[in-house]
Amino acid sequence: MVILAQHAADGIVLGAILALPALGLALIWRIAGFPHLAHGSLMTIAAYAAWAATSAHLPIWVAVTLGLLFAAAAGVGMHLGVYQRLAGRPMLSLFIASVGLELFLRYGVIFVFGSDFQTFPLPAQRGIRLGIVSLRPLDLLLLAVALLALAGVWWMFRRTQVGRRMRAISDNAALARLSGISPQRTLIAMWILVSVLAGIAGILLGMRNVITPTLGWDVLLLAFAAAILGGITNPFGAAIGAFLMGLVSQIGIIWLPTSYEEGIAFALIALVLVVRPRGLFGESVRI
Amino acid sequence: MSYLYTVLAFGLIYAMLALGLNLQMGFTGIINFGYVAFVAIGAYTSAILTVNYGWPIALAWSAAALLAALASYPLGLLTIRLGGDYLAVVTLGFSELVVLFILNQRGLTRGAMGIVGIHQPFAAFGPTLSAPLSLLLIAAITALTALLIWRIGHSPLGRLLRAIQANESAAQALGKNTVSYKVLVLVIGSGIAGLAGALYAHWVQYISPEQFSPDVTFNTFIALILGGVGSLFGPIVGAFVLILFLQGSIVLQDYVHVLSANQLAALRFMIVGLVLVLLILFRPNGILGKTPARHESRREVSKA
Repeated sequence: MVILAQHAADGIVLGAILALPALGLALIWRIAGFPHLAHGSLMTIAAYAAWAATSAHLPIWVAVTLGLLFAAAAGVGMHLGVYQRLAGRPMLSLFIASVGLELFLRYGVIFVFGSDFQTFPLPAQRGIRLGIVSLRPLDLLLLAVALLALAGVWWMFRRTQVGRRMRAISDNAALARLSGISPQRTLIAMWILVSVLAGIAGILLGMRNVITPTLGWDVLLLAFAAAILGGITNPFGAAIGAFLMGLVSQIGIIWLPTSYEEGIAFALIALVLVVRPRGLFGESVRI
Repeated sequence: MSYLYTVLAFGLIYAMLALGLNLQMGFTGIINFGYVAFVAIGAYTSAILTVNYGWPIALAWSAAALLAALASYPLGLLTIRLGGDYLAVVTLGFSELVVLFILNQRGLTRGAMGIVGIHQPFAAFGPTLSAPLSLLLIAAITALTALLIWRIGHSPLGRLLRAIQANESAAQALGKNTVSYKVLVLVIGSGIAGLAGALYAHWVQYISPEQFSPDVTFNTFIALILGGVGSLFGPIVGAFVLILFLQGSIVLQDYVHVLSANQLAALRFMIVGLVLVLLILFRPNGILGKTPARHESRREVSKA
């Protein structure tokens, strides 16, 4: 029971972090029309940029801001340089282009920083007990930041004009264009949003464990699984999918070897796609 | 000399992989990003059967192709109806799952340690003859694969496959069970990947899980796109261009001292990624590619 609760708590922390890239993946999939394979690189770039800033003895908030700026620049750069030029081409072209960008950026990170892992200079912490589970204060902070970011996106979608435009384009791109919404500007806003979300997740993951050139790639399939589980038509479904994925994968490794985390996630997507192809919270339309 | 043999062997093995993938993606439009899974299944099947159970190589290679083909069957049944975007992600996940399985089933696969002591097909002829003879065998098998693909391409089945790619609903309207044909193509292509995996295992004589990362799938896609998706022999050219670049830049390492070996390796894959993006942007039909012929593919539909 204690073990189960502990794994569930870890699952919630992992889910909260995964929710950020999962939400972004769902948005890109819905609005730009393809599964974005280079999303992991955005996470990795943010983590490395922030780490480089901390090792230059900049304060942590400056480092995080720099990391997010780098992620946003990379995301917008990919959109303007590649994806926008491929608009209207088959989904596969965009997907393969994102494979190329993933390779370019991942090995670019290795070129600049080497393939050794790095750590943020954070003090070692003892877990604090909350009822029957014990969490590091850092984990609680990460959970709070991730939840705050999700709440921010929710607020943006409901209350701001750019958020409402994104939803409009996501619901019906042609209709949105007819209503005078500029897809160019909205797409740039979307890429900034998803890159910053991915960057936050990358920095959080780097603080939780270590920073490696495959930091983002290693959780990318879990994030995709979360997005598919929640239904790619619904960004917040993807976020809920991420919590489920975090819980199931952390609880599953009580019985299975730890490295099967990804395997559990994959089994879960296979199951969902067979039973409910549009995901748990997607529109129930046949693919 | 032995280095040249390795470059040629890798070129031929990647050519086989690209031919199999071309059958799936170029002819039929199946997006399989888990291709390396079947290479891994073939490599491990042949390695385990020959090293642990003393099977003769010919039998082990057949088993490798068969098992890889069989493994793709349930995956095909489950996923082939999904849209291409889902298929890409699900097959990618499948290949990671296969590698996880290999890592964790230590009793069978020796996990991260890998399997050593896999013999080349002509090891009995001594070290000087073994490599060239094995290379000839690989060349012969690649040529047979190319012949098989060429035959399929020019058969009624090949026309039907191109019809499915051009317009699946139209092919269905003509009464063709397109799903079972797509599963068939997935199975054949995976069998080719499995056989190529077995050839690879016996050429390098040592396999471990990290050799079967998604990068193998990505490299195969790059070879295919370089050579021209859907063209008959383009994938072979693409595979050799890719391998010459990758292996050639290893030679460069001995002469360039500005960058560390690690940086040079990273630079190599940065260039590969960049070339892939540039190809998609500017030469989607490959370096020798034809221009897309829309009208022709419509005619194919009515013929099939």
